Amino acid sequence: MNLADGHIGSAEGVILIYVCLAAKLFLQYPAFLITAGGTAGWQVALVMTVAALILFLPAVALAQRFPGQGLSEISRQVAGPFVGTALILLICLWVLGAITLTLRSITENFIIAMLPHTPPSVLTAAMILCMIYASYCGFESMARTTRILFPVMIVGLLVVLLFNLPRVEAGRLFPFWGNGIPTVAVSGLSYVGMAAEAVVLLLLGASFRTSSVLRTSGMLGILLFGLTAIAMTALLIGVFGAPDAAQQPFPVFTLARLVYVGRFLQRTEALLVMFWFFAAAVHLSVLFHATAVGLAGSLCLPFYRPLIFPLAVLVASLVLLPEDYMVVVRTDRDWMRPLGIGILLIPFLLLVVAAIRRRGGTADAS
Amino acid sequence: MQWRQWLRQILDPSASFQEQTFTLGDRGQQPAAEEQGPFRLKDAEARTQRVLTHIDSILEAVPLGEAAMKKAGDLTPDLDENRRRLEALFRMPENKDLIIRELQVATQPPTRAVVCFMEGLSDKTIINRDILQPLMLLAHLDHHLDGQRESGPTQFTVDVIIQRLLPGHQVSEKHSLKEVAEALLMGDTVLLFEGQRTAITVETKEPPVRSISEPKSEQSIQGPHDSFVEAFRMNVAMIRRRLKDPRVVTEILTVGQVSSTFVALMYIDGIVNPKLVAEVKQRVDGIKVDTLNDVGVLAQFIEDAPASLMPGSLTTERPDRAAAYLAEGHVALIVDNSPYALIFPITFWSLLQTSEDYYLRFPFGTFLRFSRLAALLTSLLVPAFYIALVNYHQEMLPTELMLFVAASREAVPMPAILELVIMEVTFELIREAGTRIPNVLGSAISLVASLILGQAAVEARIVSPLLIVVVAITGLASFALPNFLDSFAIRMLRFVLLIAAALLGFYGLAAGLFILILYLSSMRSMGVPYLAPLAPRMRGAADTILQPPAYTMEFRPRHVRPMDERRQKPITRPWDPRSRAAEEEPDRGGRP
Repeated sequence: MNLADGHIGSAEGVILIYVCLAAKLFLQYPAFLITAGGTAGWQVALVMTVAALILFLPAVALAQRFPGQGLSEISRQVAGPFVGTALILLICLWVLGAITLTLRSITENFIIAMLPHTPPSVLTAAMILCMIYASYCGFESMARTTRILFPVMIVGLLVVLLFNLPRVEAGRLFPFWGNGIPTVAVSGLSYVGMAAEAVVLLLLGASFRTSSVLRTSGMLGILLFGLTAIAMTALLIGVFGAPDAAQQPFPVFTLARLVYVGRFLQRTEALLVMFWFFAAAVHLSVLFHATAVGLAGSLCLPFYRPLIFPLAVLVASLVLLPEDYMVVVRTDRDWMRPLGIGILLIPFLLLVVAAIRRRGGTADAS
Repeated sequence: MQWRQWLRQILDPSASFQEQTFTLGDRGQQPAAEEQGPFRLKDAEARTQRVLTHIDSILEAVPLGEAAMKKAGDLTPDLDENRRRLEALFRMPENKDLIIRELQVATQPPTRAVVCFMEGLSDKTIINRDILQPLMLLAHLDHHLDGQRESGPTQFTVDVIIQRLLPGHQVSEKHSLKEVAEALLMGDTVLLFEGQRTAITVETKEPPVRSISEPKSEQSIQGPHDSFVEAFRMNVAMIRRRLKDPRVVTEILTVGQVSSTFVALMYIDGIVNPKLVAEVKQRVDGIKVDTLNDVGVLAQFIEDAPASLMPGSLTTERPDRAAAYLAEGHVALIVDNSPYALIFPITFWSLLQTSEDYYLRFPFGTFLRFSRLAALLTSLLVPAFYIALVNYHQEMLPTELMLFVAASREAVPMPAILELVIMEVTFELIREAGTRIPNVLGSAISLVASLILGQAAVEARIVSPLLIVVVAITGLASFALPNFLDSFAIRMLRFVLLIAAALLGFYGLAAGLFILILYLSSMRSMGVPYLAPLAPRMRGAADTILQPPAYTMEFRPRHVRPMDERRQKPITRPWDPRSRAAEEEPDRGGRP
């Protein structure tokens, strides 16, 4: 299949990027925010959202300067064949790392939640199968699938949020500034890498109908993700209190276990986790597809499909490397997310170089 | 000598076996192709003769001009030769279907002629009354176009015959044996005359058809009760009766080298997207096959994904439904001898709709659609959900129910998945048997079989009682799906999800569903995304799961890209004060 196959509209783009980013909230990330901010964990999410929106602006400007092109083509045009390719390889490597750690986290989550006696390799293999097929079908099909499954995912989220509202004690949200304004601000900026996956939009830039569609998708997607992160973090603090919430490996799952619909249906967490599976599958599939397309673009291949299977084997090998879940959490918190800031800065760097070297947009036209 | 043969059979069984057993070629007989040699030679000879005759007639026509050259064919002026060739072409005298009647046309002097038609395909009353009688009894009355009788021999021409002697409503000239054969096979009557290179065909078609009856698989309480029949012309007429618009076009295509089946391509010019018509025509024209018997076969040749479980076209036996789709900008294909129309393009949601939805008030229509969606989910997911629940996620059940399930399953030695597969397969067998058994017995036997088998299976401790409930609900839900092919696909996909759930519980079920929806998202029907207009979302999305009121559906669905998007005026209830208020809104009329 061609690298630029399919066209995504604004609504599909927003939903896709929102689901892609918000899927991580079912994992350990809310605990990171609460650890950093204490009772002001939701403020860390707020700072992170604003910073991510600002950092994404250069990516939008870059997409508008090079309409209808993916980041691979843009990078080679702006930074030359060697540096440009190296930058894309760097991004692909980071995305591959993010896929690996997220997949392992999801596997651990599902083992705890649903299938305690199932080997991780089996769950990993099933998810990789979904990723392979999704990438094979293409970005357009992924966006449409996300659109169809979106109500189910939202139900999975809203059930957790709404059914736990009665358990919230407002007093747990105080002291209001948590670990202090400077800590909140610094933590928020350091966790901006949580939205770094948005950069995949640029890798798949050629699939968006116009650059304004890409802009709307990215900005609205990040904004909605931020709002969900704020609500989720606040709810967790309100229900568990900051110290307890920060201790949970999968805090939202623990919230889900508290959901009690009625005597006829209890312990719904397995059902809710099934709904979350869709979000996780979308998240991983989009990242996986973006890696394949990005690599194909940087290697000047006209098609990405030949790269799907080798990449899948690579992911399957890497995902079983961490010894335990704690290694995954530490690697993600201490390495991947800080590096994510750098990944978000690459479009800014390319934009500056493009402006200096007068590449793309009005410069080319003149 | 009888005893010798008997002795030989005992002593040499193989020899006797060869003599007695008929085989088609697996015991070293002479290849059939070699036996066909003389017949092929004969055919080749006939073809060569026809080519030579064609060349002769062209040479004769050259001095007469271009019009004459166009009429030059392989028929000869020799009536006996033409008759001989026709008989050879139709494998006479073995073939008894072709009737050849020799006669003298009552001209002055009389002219020899033959009348040919196919037994069973032609209307004999028309042949007797409107062909034989005028030619044999009335031809002497007046042979001249100007109406003035002349003395002396008549100048006999085909034109005179057509214009004065044959009162048939469709009469045409044929100049080649191939055209003559085609006309005969369609049920027309052919006239050959001595001294003429031209044959005359008269429309006398009367193929065996059944009368219009009620739909069998798309019944409705409200709405028309007629359904398509096997005669495609009647089917086209039934649609035309509903669309009295001169822009309705019926193109006739022919498919099948042996069957020469007519395929009617219907659309409304000015509404349908011309690209769609061109694509459908191209795909139908591309079919190179010997026979085409049904729309189901045609669909396999032209669908985007013929191997897919989900249908890429809509098969309907209701003329009102076909007409409604045409009015929306779709195309319909009607195959001769098939009581169904094939609609292109379609979406997944159209498989869950019936024409009755639109005939009911919108709350009822919406309720019906929700019921069908529930039926779809039940039919697809309930067995897999049950297996996941029983095998992996027992904690979700209330304690009392869980204890009951455990107690009912205690006596059953088999794993739940095996129980379920056995019952599902049994249910499919009952369903299939119910379809094949004659109608009078079918429903009774199905009912008895399901009741007795279910009861007996529980008592024999092969399955648990709860499982019977699961299978029954699933089966009932699958009957509620309005499209036969869709129902079939869902039944098969149910087994796939069942296996996924048996392997990994809800995780496997979710993975299976994700892959299924991805697959549906990547499908297209004649270039239209299968899940449109919901994914991608377009205008017309309201008419998928919900049933909007008829007076609000102002536009044709966007996904078929019609040339004329608006199907009704913005205000369709002008007498209604609410409509007048809406009319006064500035953006009401101009909404794109």
